[in-house]
Amino acid sequence: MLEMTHEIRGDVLILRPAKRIDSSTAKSFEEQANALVDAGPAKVVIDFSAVDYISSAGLRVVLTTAKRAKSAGGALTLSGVSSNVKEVFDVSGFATIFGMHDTDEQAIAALKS
Amino acid sequence: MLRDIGSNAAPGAMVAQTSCSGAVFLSDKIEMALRNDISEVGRVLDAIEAFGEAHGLSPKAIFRLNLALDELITNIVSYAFEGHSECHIELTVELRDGVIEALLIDNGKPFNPVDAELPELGEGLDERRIGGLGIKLVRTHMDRLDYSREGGFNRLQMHMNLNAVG
Repeated sequence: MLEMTHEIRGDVLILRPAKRIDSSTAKSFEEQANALVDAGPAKVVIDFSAVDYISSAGLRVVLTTAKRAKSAGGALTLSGVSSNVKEVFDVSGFATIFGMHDTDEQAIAALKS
Repeated sequence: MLRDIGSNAAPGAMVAQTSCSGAVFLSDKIEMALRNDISEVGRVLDAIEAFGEAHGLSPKAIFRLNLALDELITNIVSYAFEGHSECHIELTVELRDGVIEALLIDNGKPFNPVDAELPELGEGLDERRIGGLGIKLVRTHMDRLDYSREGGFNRLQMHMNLNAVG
C-alpha cells in the first residue's frame, strides 16, 4: 500500500502521496489516484513534498493520472518535488510536460491561469 | 546457489547462510534470493536502505542504487519468465573501496539491458510513453554495466563509484 492523503481546496484536488513510489507500491498509488480524480475535481496537484523515491512505475501513474484529469476537462501539475525525485523527472523529460512548482499555492495558481 | 551458475563472488560459507526469503547482512555484502513477484522490489529497497545507512552511503547514492535495482528487477518479474515456473533470481550487492558492485542474475529470457535499443519516449502528454524509461534511468545512474549470458542465466554487473555520486 502506498500511503496517501488528499485535500480538496476550492476546485482543485491535491494528492499527497508519501515515502516510496516504487514498482510494488505504484499500483496502490494508481488505484487511489484514479478513484479521487473520478470523484473530482479534475484539476489536480500532486504534492511530492513527502515523497522521497519514485521509479518509472510511479512516473507511469503520474502520466495516466494526468491523462485522466485532462479527459475529464482538467489538468495536472506538480509541487514540492525534492532533488532526487526531480532528477528522475528530469531524465524522463516529465518535468517540462507537467510543470513543477515549489508550493501547492503556486501549483494551484498555475492550474487556474 | 551462486556457485552452481559459475559465480566467483561468494565463498561457500556465506552462500550457505542465505535462505530463499532472507537477506543476509555480512560486513560489506548483501545476498538475496528473490521470488518472481513484484512485491520483492519493496523487500530489496528496504534491504538497500538498511545496508546504505549502516555503511554511511549518501541518500543520493542509496536513491540511485535503489532506482537501478527497482527498474531491473521489475523488468525481470514483468517479462523474463512468461509461462515458465523454475525462476531463479539472485542479487548480490557489495561495497568495496568506495565502489558499489551489484550483480543481478536470472534464468529468464535472454535480455541485455546494456545494448537494448530504447524506444523514443515521445514529447507531449498524449504521445508520451514509458517503455524503455526504466532502462534509461539505469544507464544514467550506474557508472558501468556489464552484461553476459552464461549457462542459461542473464548476469548483469553494475558499478557505482560513490565518490562520483556525492
